[in-house]
Amino acid sequence: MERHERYDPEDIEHLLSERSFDALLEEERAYVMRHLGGREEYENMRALLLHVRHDEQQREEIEGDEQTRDRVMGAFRAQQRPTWRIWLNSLASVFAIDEHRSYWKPALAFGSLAALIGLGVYLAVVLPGKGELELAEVRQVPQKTVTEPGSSKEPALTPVTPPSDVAAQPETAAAPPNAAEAVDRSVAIEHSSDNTGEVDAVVRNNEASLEEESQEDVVGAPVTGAVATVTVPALAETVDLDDVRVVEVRELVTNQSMSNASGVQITKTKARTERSKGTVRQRSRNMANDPEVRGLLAQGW
Amino acid sequence: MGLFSKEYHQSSDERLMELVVRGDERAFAALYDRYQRRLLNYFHRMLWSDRETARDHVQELFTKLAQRPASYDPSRPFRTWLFSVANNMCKNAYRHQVVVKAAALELRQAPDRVDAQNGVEVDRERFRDRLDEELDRLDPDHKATFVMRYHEDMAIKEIAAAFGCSEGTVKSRLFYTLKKLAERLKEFDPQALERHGKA
Repeated sequence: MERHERYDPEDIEHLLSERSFDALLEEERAYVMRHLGGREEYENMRALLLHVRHDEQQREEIEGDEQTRDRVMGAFRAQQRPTWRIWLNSLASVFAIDEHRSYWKPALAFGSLAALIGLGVYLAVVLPGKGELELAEVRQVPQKTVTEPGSSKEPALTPVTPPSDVAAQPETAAAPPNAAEAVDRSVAIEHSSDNTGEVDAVVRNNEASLEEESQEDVVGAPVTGAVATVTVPALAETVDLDDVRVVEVRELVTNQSMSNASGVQITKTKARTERSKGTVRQRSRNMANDPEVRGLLAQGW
Repeated sequence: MGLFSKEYHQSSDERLMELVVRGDERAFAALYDRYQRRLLNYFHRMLWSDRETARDHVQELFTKLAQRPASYDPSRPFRTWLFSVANNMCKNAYRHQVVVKAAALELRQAPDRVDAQNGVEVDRERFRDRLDEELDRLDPDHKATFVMRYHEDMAIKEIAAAFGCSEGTVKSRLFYTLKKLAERLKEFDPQALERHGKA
């Protein structure tokens, strides 16, 4: 039967430390002899072990210096600094790039930064102005329109007549208040049926010239039938009626923009503009080829 | 929450490391004061008895600890973990030497020697030098095991934890290292050595 050992080879250190070869028990000595060459080797190892342990106690230890301690503590403090300082320090590495192909990174960063700054300036400058507009007081803007008598949506226009004729026209007095007010505010130019052709021609000519000058805000006085009426419905609110000046046909022909001399602006709707453009163009072509118109112009009215 | 100054010196290594991870500078200073001397001597013995190299390695080790305190594994004893890191640094230092053993002999310096005052002192100094030379010729793991056991007075269990091996492996390394050194140093009188050991 195989004998089970009480000691492992590595446990010989314990025996070396505790007992000399002569002090070993029989069983221990047999164990030592199986792993070592003999008494001499055992004693050498024991002497070495004891001397090393003793020498370690006698050996002068090296002392650390304060400089090393300061550097280590400095490293610890640097590690504990806030992150943003480290980020600022790393900016230098962003500027100093070794490889040229990596320049797009700072370029992209600074481009984005510039775009953000521009957007911020835009928002700071433009948006407050818009806010003021939004908060502004709402006022009614005076409008000057030129209407055609036949338009159903326009207020009823009545030619201006002398006061003596007012009594002779009961239907005008009996008109609704809005219609009467429109009559008061309107300036009408009335012509006799004899002059209708002349006025029509002159007005057409004037409209044609306006078309050529691309003055979209000014609309020529429309002429339909025997009466051509120029109405300014909203003028009464901003313009005193005493200041309203009756534009004569001659002035109208000479320069219709004279009607704006009093500061009146004539506006029109888009639909009406398109409609009038179509008719004016058609009439302008006819007028240019009409020998009667040329004759009138040659005679100087 | 920090501790009072007295408590820092009484706290365990593991408790101090918890505070270091939270950024406690005084805990870090307490750990440095507790281990810098031992590590300095460990590096001195492991790295060819070069003081400057030993100081540099101590600084490097604690700088690593300051920069990455979270790298410490709280499940391990701090002392064991610290020496395992130191041992790995020594291995890296060996690798950087073109010829480790030849460099060890060249780098060996004798500034640590105390002037011999008598014959016994001379023998002791001579034996130290020879022992260090023979240690440098050993395998780094065997040398580190020997230094930890007999110079740093670490337990077998701690050494095993530092190396990540079994206690039997540590004992086996110690046995064969002792056997080899005893054979190489047998020129010295064992009786005289034993007398020095008992003195």
